[in-house]
Amino acid sequence: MPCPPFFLLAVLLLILQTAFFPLLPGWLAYLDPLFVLLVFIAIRFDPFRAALMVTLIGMLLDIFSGIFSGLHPLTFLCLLLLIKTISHLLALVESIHQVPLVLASYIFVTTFSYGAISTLSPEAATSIPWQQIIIRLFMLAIITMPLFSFFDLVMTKFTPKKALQILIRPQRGNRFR
Amino acid sequence: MMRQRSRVKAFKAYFLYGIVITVLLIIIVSTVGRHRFNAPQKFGLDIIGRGQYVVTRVSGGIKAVWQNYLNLVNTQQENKVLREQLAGSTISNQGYREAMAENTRLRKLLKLKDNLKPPTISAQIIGRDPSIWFRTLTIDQGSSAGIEKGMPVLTVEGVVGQILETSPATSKVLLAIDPNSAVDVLIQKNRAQGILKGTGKQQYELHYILKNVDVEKGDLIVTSGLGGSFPKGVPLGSVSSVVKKRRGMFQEIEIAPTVDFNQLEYLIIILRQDSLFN
Repeated sequence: MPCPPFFLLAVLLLILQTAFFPLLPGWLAYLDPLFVLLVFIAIRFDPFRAALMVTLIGMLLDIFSGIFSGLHPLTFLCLLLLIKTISHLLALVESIHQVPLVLASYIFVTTFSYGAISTLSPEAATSIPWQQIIIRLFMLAIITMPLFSFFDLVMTKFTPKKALQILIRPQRGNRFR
Repeated sequence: MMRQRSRVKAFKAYFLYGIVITVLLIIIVSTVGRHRFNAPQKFGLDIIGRGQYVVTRVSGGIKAVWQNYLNLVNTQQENKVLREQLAGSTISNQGYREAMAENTRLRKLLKLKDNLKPPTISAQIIGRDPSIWFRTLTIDQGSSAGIEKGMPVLTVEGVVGQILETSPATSKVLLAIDPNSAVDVLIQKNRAQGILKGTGKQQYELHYILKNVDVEKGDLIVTSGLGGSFPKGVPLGSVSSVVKKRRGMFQEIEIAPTVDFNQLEYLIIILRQDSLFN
């Protein structure tokens, strides 16, 4: 699983999300492809690499978003733990689960962030911006599947062929028993 | 025997992942809430800030080309008028420059260093906070231009916020509408003092104004100058609603900002007095 290309992709998405998307009109300003990438990493990468990647991306986001250091890595590690736990119970690699999973993850991250911010800075607690959350959920629902296809393509492109052969080799025995 | 071996192997793998994630969690939790950037974070702010700058310039360029195309009608006539105005302005500007240079020289001669207005620097916004909880910006000027934490950030309309973090080439600005922002203010007409807090939306809340103070819709709110961060008398907003509840000592006052935070592009940062002489 290639970490450096996905880290560069995360940096590129962060730049677009902070410098370009806010200039777009209307709902397009609420696009959040970096979050889809985070969920993709949580699903597709092995636990060690996924933990490393979500921590690094969280640290990057800490620089450009918010005022508390460590809030994003902590939130993303908790999200990773949740997704890895669920993935033991469901076949999350299937595309049918992608949209509901991304939306559920966003709701989890929003709830966790609200709780953490209220704890760290109780005097600055505000009401939950429901309208913004709903718009973002809607936008995430639209972009999730195309972005997952794109990230899969990047993964195939940058994964060494030998490793890919091991991943997609025919499985022996009855896997549905 | 084989099953036992695979169990031991799985246990070892889980143990390793557990240790790694625990170490990561310890590092992160120990830094939660810390407000100062460390060296790697400053480096990240600088490097990605340059990327943001490039993207902002390119998108700004595309936007400008489109605007130019739209404004092509009547350009010739407007151009003629503007050229005439520019010629007049250039002559008067030269006069002002001369007068300013003379003024500065004379003030220095009179040792009126302390009475000089603090220097300012303008900066372009290159990034905005993608989160729904915070209101911060990234600008294209940093500590190498003399910017420091806590310096006030303004536009001609009024207060925008203050510097939160700096790196050599970029800085992060906490907007006054962020829920974590609080500014010491005055109601201009009666000099009643209060604290203006951000709400995360396009409005402020004015706290600690007693019920017996006369406040009306439209009253102007300005900075008090207390605390040393902001200069005195800079506008922040005007009263948009006043509620006096039966219980409690204070009024509930909402303020409409003078600055349109959605339309910000260029900002002015007030540097410290000594920055001019360094």
